[in-house]
Amino acid sequence: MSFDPSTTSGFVIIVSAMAVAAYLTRIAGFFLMRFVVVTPRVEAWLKALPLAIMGSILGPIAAHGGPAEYAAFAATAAVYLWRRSDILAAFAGMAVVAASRAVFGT
Amino acid sequence: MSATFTAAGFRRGFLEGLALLPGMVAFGVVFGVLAGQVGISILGAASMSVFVYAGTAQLLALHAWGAPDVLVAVVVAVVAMNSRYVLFGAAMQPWMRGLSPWIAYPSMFLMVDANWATAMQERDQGRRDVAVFAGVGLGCMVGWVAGTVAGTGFGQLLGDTKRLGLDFFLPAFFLSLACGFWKGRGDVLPFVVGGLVAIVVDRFVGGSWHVLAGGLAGSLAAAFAPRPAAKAGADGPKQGEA
Repeated sequence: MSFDPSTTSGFVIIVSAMAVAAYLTRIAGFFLMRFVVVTPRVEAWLKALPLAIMGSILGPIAAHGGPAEYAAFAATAAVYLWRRSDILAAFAGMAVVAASRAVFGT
Repeated sequence: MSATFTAAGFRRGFLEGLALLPGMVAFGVVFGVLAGQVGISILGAASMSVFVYAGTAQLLALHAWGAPDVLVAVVVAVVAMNSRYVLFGAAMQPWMRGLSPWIAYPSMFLMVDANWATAMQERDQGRRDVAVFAGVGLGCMVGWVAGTVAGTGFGQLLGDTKRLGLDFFLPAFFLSLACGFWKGRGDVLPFVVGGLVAIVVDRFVGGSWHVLAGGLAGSLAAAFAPRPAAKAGADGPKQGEA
């Protein structure tokens, strides 16, 4: 079956699926913790998961990126370490990308 | 003492959440502009922001919007982006023990990065009013939805968003989160293995699968690697409990 998100029914189905999936991720850990025995290995796995996911998001972007993206990544990290605000740092990275694209072209 | 849920706590949390308004509105505008570009209406974008309420997942889902396997792709995007919430929820469970499920489960709907951090701070200070957590979550939603509406409504005025670097917001946001999660040398392994596996999967498979594949590969590599924890006291007393 295929769904066309530009029709109302297709859109409602897709957003409903996203909403259910999002809610399940929010309650899954909360629910399962009643039954899981957290061995040191499970704990190590849970601890490593966020950074593994962030690495897997950033890897392909870095692989496709050029000097503008690398400069922006550096600026993002610097602003984060300076102000400890993730949204502020993200906007700094965005600004550097926009500026370098304006100067050097995309 | 078991966890409580008070009106005063909810009010305090809601005001704390509103204090994060500028950042949430800005993030919402980014999503709204990009949602408008793939043809989503203001009402559609706003309802997605209310019911899904996951900025990073919604941004990634937009990449899959035109794809033939869009339903699978958006669900994978949500699960991959929100998988950190599974961990957040696991950490929340002991703190919320004693609370009625009728209050606990609806409260969990409001969990985002900001109020999870609040909950962990409250826990460390010995407080167990879950209403503070729910209040921050609702306060953040106000800015997020307002930003979404503004971005979708006025996005066309911005012209070419790539010129403004909007496509770079999500990668930059994740790099900042990664910096926040970074604790030491042990974190290199999951991050690098995840990145490398994702590059390979992205090149040969496509879709959003690289996030899931890299996330699992990196985290499992870290779980099964010989622990560098012998480094005295790096992980605190938890090592002793094994």
